[in-house]
Amino acid sequence: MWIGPYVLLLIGLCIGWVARSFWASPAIPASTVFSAAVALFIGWLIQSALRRQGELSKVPIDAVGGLCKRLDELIVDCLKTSPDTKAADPALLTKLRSLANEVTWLCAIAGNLKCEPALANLVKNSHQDLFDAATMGEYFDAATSTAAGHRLRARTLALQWDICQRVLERSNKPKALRRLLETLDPESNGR
Amino acid sequence: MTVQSIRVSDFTRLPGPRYIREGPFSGEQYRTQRLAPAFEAAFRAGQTLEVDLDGMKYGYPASFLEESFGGLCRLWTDPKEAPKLLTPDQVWNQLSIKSNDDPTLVTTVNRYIQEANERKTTGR
Repeated sequence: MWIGPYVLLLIGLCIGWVARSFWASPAIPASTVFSAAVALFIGWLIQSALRRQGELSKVPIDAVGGLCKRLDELIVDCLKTSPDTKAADPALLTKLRSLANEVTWLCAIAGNLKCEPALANLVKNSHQDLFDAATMGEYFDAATSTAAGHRLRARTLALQWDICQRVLERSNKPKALRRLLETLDPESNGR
Repeated sequence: MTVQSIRVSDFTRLPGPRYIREGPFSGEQYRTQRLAPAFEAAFRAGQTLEVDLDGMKYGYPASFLEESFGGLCRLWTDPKEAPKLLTPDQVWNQLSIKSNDDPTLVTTVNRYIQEANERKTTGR
């Protein structure tokens, strides 16, 4: 463990002792100075542990936030497609394939963090609806796609919320959380 | 059960629309020229047909997949046209879909097969 906290405790004790001896009333008992320094030390330990946990849980939450932002942008991009675009249009198919990969990745994270399976299924279903709406006909169907896109955005948000909750529930067990996320990489071998 | 394999990329890397009249490399063309004959051959040999969906330049339109796989299911579940009458589940179990580029396509194809008879009729 880092020696910083002990140095801090020592400095606190010295300052307290000097204040007691030369500046404040020498009547203050040594035990009071010691208890104050220990209280300061324990307070510092608690706040640093809490801050560390908060920072650790921010890592997966930020990653999921970034992923959902990309999903959102891809959906909006798809919905900007002109209604006279053919279903086999390369640009539209490229966006839909990227969207499918991001949805797969988000659902894989949700599965590893033991999120509510119904939420992930709703995301998958609305993604399928968008895929069908966009490319089932000869041309891009803007009206049906927009409705499916809105459903997908709303359900993605609900799943993102659930993932964040699962991360925060495990914020006091960062190693367990990391192990769960590492299983997303089949070659990590728990390293 | 042994496996026969076909790759959509041997037919095209740019899958087109649903029907032949809508443009080249359509789902209808793929079904009639490649998928249905391979499916029948595999079925008669008592083998599973593995269909490899990987290798597309951009991806698949839903219409191509629905017409290929949904159309195949409509054909084999139609009492008048089927070489041997199958259920959608039997059609699905006869197939093995491989898609590493976009893993969601496996579920998509399964759905098109299960819902084939609720959708448009083949060759319209």
